[in-house]
Amino acid sequence: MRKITNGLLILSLLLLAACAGESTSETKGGKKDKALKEAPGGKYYGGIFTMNDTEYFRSLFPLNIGEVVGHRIGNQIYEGLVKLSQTDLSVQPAIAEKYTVSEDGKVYTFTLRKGVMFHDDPCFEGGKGREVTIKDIKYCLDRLCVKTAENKGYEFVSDRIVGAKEYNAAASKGSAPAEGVSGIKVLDDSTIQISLVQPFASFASILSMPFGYIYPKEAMDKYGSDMREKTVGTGPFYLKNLQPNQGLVLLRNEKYWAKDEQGNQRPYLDGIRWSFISDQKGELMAFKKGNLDMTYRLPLEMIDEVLDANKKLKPDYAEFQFQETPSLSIYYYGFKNKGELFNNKKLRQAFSYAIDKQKIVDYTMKGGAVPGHYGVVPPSFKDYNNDVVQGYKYDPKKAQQLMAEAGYPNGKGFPELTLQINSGGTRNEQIAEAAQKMLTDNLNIKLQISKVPWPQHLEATETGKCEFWRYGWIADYPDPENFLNLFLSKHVPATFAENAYINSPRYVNPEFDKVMEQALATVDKAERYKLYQKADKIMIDDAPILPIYYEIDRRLVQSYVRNFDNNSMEYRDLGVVWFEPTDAFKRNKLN
Amino acid sequence: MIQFIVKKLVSGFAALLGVVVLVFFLFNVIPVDPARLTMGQRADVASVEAVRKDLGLDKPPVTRFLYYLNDLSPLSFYKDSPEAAEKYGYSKLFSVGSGNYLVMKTPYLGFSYQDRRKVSDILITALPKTILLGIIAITFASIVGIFLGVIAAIRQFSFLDNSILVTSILGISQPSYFSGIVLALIFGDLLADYTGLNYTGNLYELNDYGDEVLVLKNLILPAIALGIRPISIFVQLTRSSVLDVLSQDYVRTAKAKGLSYYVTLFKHVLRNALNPVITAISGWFASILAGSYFIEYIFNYKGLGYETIKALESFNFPVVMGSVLFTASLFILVNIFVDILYGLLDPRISLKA
Repeated sequence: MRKITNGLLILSLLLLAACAGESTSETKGGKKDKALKEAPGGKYYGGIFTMNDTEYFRSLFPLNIGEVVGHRIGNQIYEGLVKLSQTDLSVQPAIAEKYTVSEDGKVYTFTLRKGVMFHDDPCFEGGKGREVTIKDIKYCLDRLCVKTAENKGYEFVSDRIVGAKEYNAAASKGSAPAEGVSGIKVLDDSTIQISLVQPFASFASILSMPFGYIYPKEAMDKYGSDMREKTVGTGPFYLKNLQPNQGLVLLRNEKYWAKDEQGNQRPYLDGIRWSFISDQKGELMAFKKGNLDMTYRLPLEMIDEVLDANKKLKPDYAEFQFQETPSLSIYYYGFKNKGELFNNKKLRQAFSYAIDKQKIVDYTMKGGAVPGHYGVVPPSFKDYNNDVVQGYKYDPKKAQQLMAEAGYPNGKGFPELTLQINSGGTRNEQIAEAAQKMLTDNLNIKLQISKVPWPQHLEATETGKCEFWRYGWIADYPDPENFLNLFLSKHVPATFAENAYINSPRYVNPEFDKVMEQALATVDKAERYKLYQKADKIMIDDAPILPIYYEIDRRLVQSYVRNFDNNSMEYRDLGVVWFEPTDAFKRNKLN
Repeated sequence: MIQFIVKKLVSGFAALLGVVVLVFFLFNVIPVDPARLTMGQRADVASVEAVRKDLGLDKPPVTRFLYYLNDLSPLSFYKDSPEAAEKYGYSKLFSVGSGNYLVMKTPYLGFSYQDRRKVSDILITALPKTILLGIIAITFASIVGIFLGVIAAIRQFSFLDNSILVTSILGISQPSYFSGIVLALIFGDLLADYTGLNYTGNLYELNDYGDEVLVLKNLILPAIALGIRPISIFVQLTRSSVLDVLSQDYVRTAKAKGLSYYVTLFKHVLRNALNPVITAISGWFASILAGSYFIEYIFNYKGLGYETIKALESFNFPVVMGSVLFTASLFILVNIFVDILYGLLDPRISLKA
């Protein structure tokens, strides 16, 4: 017994010692190092930006990044020929110094920027990163055109780049031609040319996506499939360390190519620390305590605590910066347009008029969305005029009239219908219940709600196993075409046995297809947007889907964060952000 | 004795096989396609097929089951290739024809569907954290439980005794995930400025410069939450056991020969009274490991339980299977060990098969 008590005593002493040891090492970390250094133009160097995502990333390998978290992290580490501007999502040159588009919109010519260096990494000789060459660009773009289980970008380029399909076919037989994809030509040491099958105005935005990132062949050879967590890029930060499911730290790339207007070397921040706390409330609490520099997406149940009736911050939160913008996303209900029930356009329109989207936005979404009164393109594009794409505002009278015209006067003879939603999150349920009540009250029909797991939900909607379902779409790249593309008839297979991948409502309208084809061949942006609006209007007049809302992204940022603009894709570029040494900064970062 | 051990091992093996069969077929009954889960909305037939093939899901369940058993077994058959050798890390025993070999290896548990890490790596990183949490929780529970139990016994029927008893009953009656949430809210959030504790946290965290640091304070709240139920049990056990011993003749003798009260208590009473408590403590250790599943999830403490629940949420079959198998084998081995130990310690128990 004495031995046990002694053992316990020693153990507790050890614990105490360890705790004490930890606190001293914290102070030893050097608070003075954390102070900011002033630079010309009122900017400051230093500081670690802290942020959280509620999901862990799946992969950081450029070709394999398929979800937002991997994309957000990848953006700080990697760069493509072009990248997006954090302020307005316009396409900016990055590893390419500039690019030109031929008059017919089919040939893109990129000029390589001089002096862009890869991060230092053991995969290089001597561990020092070398300069990016035109061969790297060719290597990465060729790989993009080979379909593998890891490559999530192939579908974006296979129909577009000349020779991509042929190259893939040859590569799958193990006989890829040495000169690579025929439509991707190296002209000289600093120029590369990409030829498209037909004009595609958003091609540059596509190259800004993760699978357009440039990485060295050496890393691929050394790490292979470990590239999902080993990164060698050219971006403003490099990956210092990572704990699976838990956190990662990026530190500043001293050899980054970019300088600001005052000639200051970017980035300003010393690094970024990412955590992965899985609940949104925990994230908000950590932010309020000052442990995080930003929190994205306020949990719905906490909105009343943060915002008052006028959508202004309440006193407890007044010190923070509040940023909001309509996101590039849509939340909608889909109809099985080729089904026996919903091939009836008047019926679809009746449903569309019968749901009060404004009410759903006000009560369920707490004002955090724009009601779905337009087409599929969300009201988030600066030059896109959604007002000419009027959809369906709540009008129960009209709904009942259309219901009668559709052959179901006062709901008579209407079969029992099921609305299928995917499980996960209470929001889908709350909205479905609201919609259920509105539809049953206004149209006098019977509606059930069924909840199934996400993969099963996708499978059912794509193979036409449900009539009426919830769906959503978030833009891959900032272009209205990314939304309108969902309704092209080429995505609709002949039978229900085959999956209709993105056009799961199976909407087919040759007129819509024609306008879209015309739009994609139009190089002039204003002209093109007009055609997009026309297509959007044609589509929503047919009511193949029922838009519920377009979400508004809200985030809180600490008061001392500068030059951190928000945008409708939550596209983050920490390479341009700096901290101001205010009192709040000192409180959060120096104590 | 040997016979006994062999028999125990055989039945343990049968139990493990049962676990494999059960988990495997449960995952095949769920109408969820893991390949689809790793892809987004944009997945086309060919991509999903490629992922299915990559994850080995393109074969019928029975074939996959046999492959899984082959992967699991230390003695197994493989077609020899440099990739296979690297994947499984086997050593060849002898050839069975056409490039196939009988090989010896450590059981191969596959890789996570989500991030493609090896399951064995996931388990190896997660396990020490869970064990450390368990040890700290049980140590804390033993110290506090025995201390309070002794106090309750020597002040029997006093106000102190009654309040300790009532509190301990409350302690038994609440599930650990409840106390976990309450503790996290009170000490990790509301009073965080005074306690300096985190609402959630892991054993190792990255500091601002990307170095891993040990954050022992993150053990405090989970260990307390996990220890509350055992404390209550230990209090009651200690109390009744001490009362039992106090009424025995030799204690009276000790008092009669003039020994001081505390010497009697610590040298004579406690030594005997603690035997059943120590047995209970060792028995609770296993339950603590099981209880840590909830606690780890609540506190975002990335041990075995956290990884398993996360894997269940995402239908990540290899990780769930690996962790369940691992826990099951641990329980089976501990049980065999305890059986043998009882036989060695207590001559009345004979280890007959």
